Amino acid sequence: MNFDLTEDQKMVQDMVQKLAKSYEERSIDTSIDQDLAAELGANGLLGVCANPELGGSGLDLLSLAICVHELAQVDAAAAVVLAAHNALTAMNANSEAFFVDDVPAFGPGIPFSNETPFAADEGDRWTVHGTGLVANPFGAKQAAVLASTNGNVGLFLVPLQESDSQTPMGLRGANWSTVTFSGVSAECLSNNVDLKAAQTAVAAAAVGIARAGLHEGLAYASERVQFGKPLTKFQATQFKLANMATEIDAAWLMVQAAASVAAPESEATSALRFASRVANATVDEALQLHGGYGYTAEYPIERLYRDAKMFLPAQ
Amino acid sequence: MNLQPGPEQLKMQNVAREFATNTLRNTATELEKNHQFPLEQLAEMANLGLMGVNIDTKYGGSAAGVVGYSLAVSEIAMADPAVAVTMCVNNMVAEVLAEFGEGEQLDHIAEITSGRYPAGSFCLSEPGSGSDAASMQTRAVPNDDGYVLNGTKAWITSGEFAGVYIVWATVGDGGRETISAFVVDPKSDGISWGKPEEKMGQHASNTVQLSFDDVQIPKHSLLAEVGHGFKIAMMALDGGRVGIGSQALGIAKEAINVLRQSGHGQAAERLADDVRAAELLVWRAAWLKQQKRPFTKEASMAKLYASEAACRVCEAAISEMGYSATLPAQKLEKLLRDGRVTRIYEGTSEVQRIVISREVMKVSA
Ligand SMILES: Cc1cc2nc3c(=O)[nH]c(=O)nc-3n(C[C@H](O)[C@H](O)[C@H](O)COP(=O)(O)OP(=O)(O)OC[C@H]3O[C@@H](n4cnc5c(N)ncnc54)[C@H](O)[C@@H]3O)c2cc1C
Repeated sequence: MNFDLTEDQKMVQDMVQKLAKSYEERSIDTSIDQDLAAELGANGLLGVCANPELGGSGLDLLSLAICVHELAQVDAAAAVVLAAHNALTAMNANSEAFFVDDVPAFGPGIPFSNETPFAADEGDRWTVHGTGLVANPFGAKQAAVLASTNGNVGLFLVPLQESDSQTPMGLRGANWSTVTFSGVSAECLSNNVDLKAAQTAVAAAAVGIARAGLHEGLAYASERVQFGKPLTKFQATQFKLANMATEIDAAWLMVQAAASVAAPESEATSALRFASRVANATVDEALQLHGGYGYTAEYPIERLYRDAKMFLPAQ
Repeated sequence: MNLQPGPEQLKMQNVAREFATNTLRNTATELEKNHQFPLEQLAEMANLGLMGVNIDTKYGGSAAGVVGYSLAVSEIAMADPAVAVTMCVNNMVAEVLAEFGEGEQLDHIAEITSGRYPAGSFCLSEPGSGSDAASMQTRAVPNDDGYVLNGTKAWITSGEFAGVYIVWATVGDGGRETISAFVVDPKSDGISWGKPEEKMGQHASNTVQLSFDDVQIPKHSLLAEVGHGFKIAMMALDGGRVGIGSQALGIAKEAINVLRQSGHGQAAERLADDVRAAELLVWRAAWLKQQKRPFTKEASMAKLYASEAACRVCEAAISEMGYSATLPAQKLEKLLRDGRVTRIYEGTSEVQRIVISREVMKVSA
């Protein structure tokens, strides 16, 4: 047994931490910074687990989770896009359909769906049917869609046409719209994908949001004085902070376990469910610690709270 | 025992329900989008008697009691929580004036109930004192003409539109024993406000920070006596918590409705238990207040449970309905954004727990 990260994993963590820090000061509730995406690409982070021969970095799933987890603490929308993009390249590791430095839109399926679209095999082609939310921060012309195929889940590349732009509760920077696929022809990349990478990476984003929530809540509670002392001196606050920290550690361990080579897909499903709940509970408490200030856009916790809500359906 | 509202109470509920259904349901989305204060809607509500539900008819009120008030607030909140909070504060200010006011102070009540004032404001919180309201920094220094007010009030609901403020301050250099309440004309020289707070929800309610900069107010501004202010505030907040509990209850009920209407009947039934518990706690607090019995503990229970249930139910509903529920078209995300603050204002959930436990321990002592 060994709970330590490898040297490689630590290096990746260090790199993303530094990169994320330099983006901390920017407004992140309206769109993902284009420079950030470029920098992620330049550092090989758009193909963390992808085959090096195709331009990927060839790292393990935990390295991807680490990247997403770090980035989510600064920009959760960017982290989820990063998670989805990398999951696509991982699911499709040996196909040339994806260029690892080009971010496609990702749509109903990863990670946001409970109304999974379905794909029909029409003999000479596949058609996709369904409706859902698509994140398209960089104006891609096609979306990668997870659709059910006779009990399996397949991955399809679907042309994007008309879509209604939407402002969901959170992760707004990912640039969302709703699309309806009514029998569009789609390219089938795989008719049976393993969702382990996607779920693990998205769960890592949820843990990152939770951690950022704890950070904000603790920072605020240490400064804010009521009844003559900082909020952190109240045992009620201390108990909250202790619960938050414990749940975050549990969630991160779940993600790390799910990322191991031996873990089955079901472990990633559990990690995502658990981390989604922890993200919501933690950020909710952290907002509460801010009192009225937490309800305003002046403090990052307001955005984190809305971001966490996008994980409600997964919990 | 009879836990059902009576005919008079249901009449008030129906008035509110009709207005909510015919008007507020149609305007809520636009008001929210434009961050627009609902002047027209508030005026119509005043005409319907909703701005002084528990106020004597001699002041233009509806005299429909606290239960009638609670039912009406929930109905309004189901359609538009932001309008409901404005209604709550208006009613609370009118009730404080009716209970503690005298002479000219009482004239403001009819201005609120008639809608000639779009709103009244309750100015207690400050940037540095929320839960610990008693550590306020605002000072009222007596002089020959009355008092000179200096200080900053934070989070003032309707502050930009109110026709009257009730402002809390310590008198002279006094400490918390001198906390007093003053009835203040918002047009007085030296009062200014900042731009509205950018809130997560309730965009159609107005929340501003008020500055009082050498504001001369007349002697008769003082409500009751010097040093009575804190008690007035706490009594007002007990009543206010019935209002906010009712608002939260309305939000929770609406979330259940959304679930039912979108074919998630089973989940709706499961979650409805939580809402029913909240409803009974809210109605009991309202009834006790109406009976003029002690209701501090029960008001805190009502507010605590209903506000927590509102958020719980909205979240469970979003989990149930999935990603489409995170979009504005489904209403749940707005209900949650609007509802989240019910766990913060008029005493946070933690403050309610402090109040409840204090009362509980009194009994065993
Ligand atoms: C939209 C909105 C409208 C409002 N309208 C009005 C209004 O019209 N008039 C008005 O006067 N005020 C108004 N308020 C202010 C509101 O009442 C305060 O925000 C609330 O009382 C909390 O105070 P605070 O924000 O200063 O938080 P704080 O008091 O700083 O609390 C921060 C956190 O610490 C916790 N805490 C504090 N003390 C303790 C303790 N002893 N033990 C454990 N935990 C503790 C709190 O529960 C909270 O979680 C409004 C607020 C909002 C957001």
